Amino acid sequence: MAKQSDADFLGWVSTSRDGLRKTAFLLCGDWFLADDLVQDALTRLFAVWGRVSGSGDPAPYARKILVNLCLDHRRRPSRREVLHAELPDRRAAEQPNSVDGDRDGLMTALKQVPVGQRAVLVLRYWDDQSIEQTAQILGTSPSTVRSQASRGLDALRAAMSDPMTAPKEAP
Amino acid sequence: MNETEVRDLFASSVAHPATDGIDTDAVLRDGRRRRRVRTAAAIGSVSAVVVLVASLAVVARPHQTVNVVGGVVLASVAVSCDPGGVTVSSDSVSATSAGVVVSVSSTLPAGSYLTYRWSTGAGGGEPLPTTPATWTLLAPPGTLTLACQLPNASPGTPRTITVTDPGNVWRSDTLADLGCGGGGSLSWGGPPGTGSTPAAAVQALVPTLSVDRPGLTVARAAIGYPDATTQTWIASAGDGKPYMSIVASPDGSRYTAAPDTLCAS
Repeated sequence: MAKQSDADFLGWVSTSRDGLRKTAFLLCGDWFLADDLVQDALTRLFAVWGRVSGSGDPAPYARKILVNLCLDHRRRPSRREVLHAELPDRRAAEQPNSVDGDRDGLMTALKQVPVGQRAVLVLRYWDDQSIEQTAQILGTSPSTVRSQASRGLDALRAAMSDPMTAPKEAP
Repeated sequence: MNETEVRDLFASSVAHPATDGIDTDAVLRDGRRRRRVRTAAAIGSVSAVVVLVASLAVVARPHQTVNVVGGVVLASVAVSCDPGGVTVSSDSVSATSAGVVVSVSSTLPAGSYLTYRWSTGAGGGEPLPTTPATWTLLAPPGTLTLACQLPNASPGTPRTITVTDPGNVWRSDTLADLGCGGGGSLSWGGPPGTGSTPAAAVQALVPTLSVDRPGLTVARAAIGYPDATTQTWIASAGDGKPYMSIVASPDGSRYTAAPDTLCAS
């Protein structure tokens, strides 16, 4: 039974890991950190796999664990991104995993959107979660999700137009 | 910037992901460690209760009567988990060619389990459904012990029923009888095979396995229940020697197959 359960879990992972990695990357802006967070989330999911998979689709639960891990990581002061007064010397195209300036510009802008608003944007417009699903994942109300989404779009719009004048990240 | 533009930007940002660095072996290892303490406690509680009840049964009721309804041993048994414990509709159930059919219902809170254990010592537990559901257990002919378990609690008093095999559907051979015994368990970190049937899922796995052992052939192992949805297959090397067993099991509307044990050489 244990091997069967392992196989079930690995089967689910094989079809879900790509999406989870991308969600984590958009939330934290770093592929290596994204992999760490996804691995942590999968470990926690596997520990309760029998209960979760028996109750239906494990995806919402996995997404909830992952988003909470990302938010926890972002909110820890010791791990928060360091905001530099000056731009780094390296050009965007020289940075790891950066393919072009637009993509790097988005990530730079996205990092300047407050973490809660960023989570709403990623869940709503990347993971295609409904208002209600997003509220459930984040443990908040649908009205808060609506307002966070609106503010997040405004913040992203401002950051994309001028990353240097965009609002700094709030805890 | 509207919602569509945000979606497009997100898609372009993840269009070229870095190499996947997730270690699924570590996920399984650490995940097992997380649940080991809880599982050990639960199994210990079940074992203690089963041993106690079995001992009492031997003393008080050495010849337990099989409950036959209308002269026919039922082909399914209804099991209900309620605050008062587990109740069963019959003391006996006949096996079908797919296994032992159990109709499960519960009034216990979410997160409660039905645990099951058969005479060989194998078994497991599954979350109780919120609405009545039909499960097919791979319990062999013999005894089947059932218990309900509330969240964060020990299993309740178990009930033991008898599984009969009037149609002689159970195939009692083991993997060892088929030349695939004594091998160790495999820790499989690769992707499972998937397919619309168990056979297709197993076939999809073969190319991955053949990297290390070219010329593998696979065949269904004639063990257990012939029409079970969870099936055991044996992969044999080019010289015909059994190499490993593979378990194919349902995964939603499809099937997945993954290596299970290595056959002793």
